[in-house]
Amino acid sequence: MNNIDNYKINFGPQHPSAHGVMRLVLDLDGEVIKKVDAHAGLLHRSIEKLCENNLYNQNVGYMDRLDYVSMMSNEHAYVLAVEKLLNIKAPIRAEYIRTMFDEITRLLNHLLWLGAHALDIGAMALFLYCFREREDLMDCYEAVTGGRLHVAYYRPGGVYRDLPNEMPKYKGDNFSKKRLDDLNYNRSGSLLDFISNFTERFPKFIDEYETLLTENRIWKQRTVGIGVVSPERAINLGFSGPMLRASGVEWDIRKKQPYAVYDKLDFKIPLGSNGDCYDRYLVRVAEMRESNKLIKQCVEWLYKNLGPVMIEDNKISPPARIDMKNSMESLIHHFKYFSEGFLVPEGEVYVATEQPKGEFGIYIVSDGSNKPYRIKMRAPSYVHLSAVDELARGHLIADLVTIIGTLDIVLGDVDR
Amino acid sequence: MLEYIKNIINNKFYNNANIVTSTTNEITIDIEKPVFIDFCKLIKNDENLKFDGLMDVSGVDYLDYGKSYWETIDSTSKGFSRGHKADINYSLYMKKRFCVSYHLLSYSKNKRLRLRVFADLKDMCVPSVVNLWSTANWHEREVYDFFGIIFLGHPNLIRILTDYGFEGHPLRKDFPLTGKYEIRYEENKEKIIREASSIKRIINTPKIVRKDFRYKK
Repeated sequence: MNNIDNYKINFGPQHPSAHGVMRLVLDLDGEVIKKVDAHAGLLHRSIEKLCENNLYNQNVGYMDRLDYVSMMSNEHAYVLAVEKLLNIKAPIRAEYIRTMFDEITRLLNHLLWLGAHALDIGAMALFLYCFREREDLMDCYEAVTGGRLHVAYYRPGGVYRDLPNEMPKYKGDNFSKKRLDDLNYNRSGSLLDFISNFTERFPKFIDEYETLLTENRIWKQRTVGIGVVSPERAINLGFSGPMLRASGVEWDIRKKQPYAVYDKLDFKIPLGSNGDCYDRYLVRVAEMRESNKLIKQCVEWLYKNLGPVMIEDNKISPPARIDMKNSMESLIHHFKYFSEGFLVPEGEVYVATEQPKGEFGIYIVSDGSNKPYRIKMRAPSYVHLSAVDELARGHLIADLVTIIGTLDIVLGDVDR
Repeated sequence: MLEYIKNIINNKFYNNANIVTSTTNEITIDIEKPVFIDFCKLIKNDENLKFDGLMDVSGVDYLDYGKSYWETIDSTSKGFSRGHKADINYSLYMKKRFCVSYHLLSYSKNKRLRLRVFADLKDMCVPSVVNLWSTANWHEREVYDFFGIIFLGHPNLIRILTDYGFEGHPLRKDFPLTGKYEIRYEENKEKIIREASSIKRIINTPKIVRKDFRYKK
């Protein structure tokens, strides 16, 4: 009998289920995977080096471009780190707005993940359903910031502006009168009204997704028992977020080391037990329900309590345009803020936040200047992708697609 | 917990570990290389500490630490020293040039800890912790890629994020922001060629460190 060696194939760099430009070199024995060699870095932009050469207030925009489906959560970690170094705290209303948008971002991320993951496995319809809801949430982003993806909304010391009183409406001749009325049905009020209306509708939508998948025989055959990670291994591999919770480790930074206003809100941590792809799916869907509750609580609070959304220290936040025309001091502050930025005291800080994908950490070394001396992003996708070899060994090629999907990687985050 | 770690250091790692206090309420411990692995094993397995999660490993290059492009201290007598003045010969940081920071997390005790190990151009080796925390594998490869720090005992220490065939270590402070080379397709030769980078870097906003604390409360 001839000795047949394992053979190698390339998975990617351009492969639809690699979720971006990622190259995997697979060692195969028949259809069974013997080894996965992941080549990351095809999207490397050296954001860390770029950030070191920018002012502190210029870096918020780069955070959006790391994990480009959970934009505001990334910004949150960065502004918290800068605030910790400056020893300031954002106003309470800003913290509620941040919390609300963090959870909206979590929905955005999980919806994209669910749609794309189901599409990878072969459930076509769900992709369209998920994007229907994403559209509404993107409109919330657009209403408050003007951008749909890269928004740069959070600033050190607060958020850029308060929530608008009016929700933008559809208009134009391409729609009939009745269609326009339908589209603008829940857009007559403020942004908060729109979000509030969304949280009322959303649980039914999650039920819809679950009807399609949770008890679906094909879905279960493709996900149950695939890519199992024990709790000990999950911790040792540095997993965080849903990846860790699906293995049954009760760890959520929002609960254990609360930031923003998570300690004032009521929510649960969904846990899995088997640590396979199916449990990770269940955890993420349950997380969407919890996020929905959190948004509801934030909306209620924001209705009742008005106030500033930016710290009133013109060394850190730019003065209002109208003040600049009347006050010499404001003019100087404006000039200094945009030409020199602000100086951050010497020190080192590591701030971790519960981003939709897991623990997103920002490590800043400051030497007392107006630019971060060293900034490092702890990207959850990077850590999760590093475990793909261990997860995929012994599975079939088709299961590798499931495993990559369940890791919830975004290559902007992996490669930075 | 801080007291407990202090006790351990006093008993077992006297002179080899040093607790750095900071204004941000984060515990940092500087450790000498020879005892680093022993210390890691101890805090990972100790019942009262249980640092079983390694969240992040990152390198820092302290070459330009505290250097500014724009001195403001003489502003009254001579005017600002405007423009580019990169070769000011002092550094606030007198220790070794490179540092590797490890961010540990104890899930059961809900605590975080930062360990720092220093390296210098003469001795770029740092012991690897892959055997203790598997997640260190890619983190250490990244630090090697960006800073050229060599992790002894790492199973597969190769570049990870930079391009195939990349030269140099891009996050070192003496590596130019614009890069060293640019790649383009040469039509006459019908192949891809590599040339020295032609981008000129413009510094719009100089880095400033203020040493003028007259108005500080």
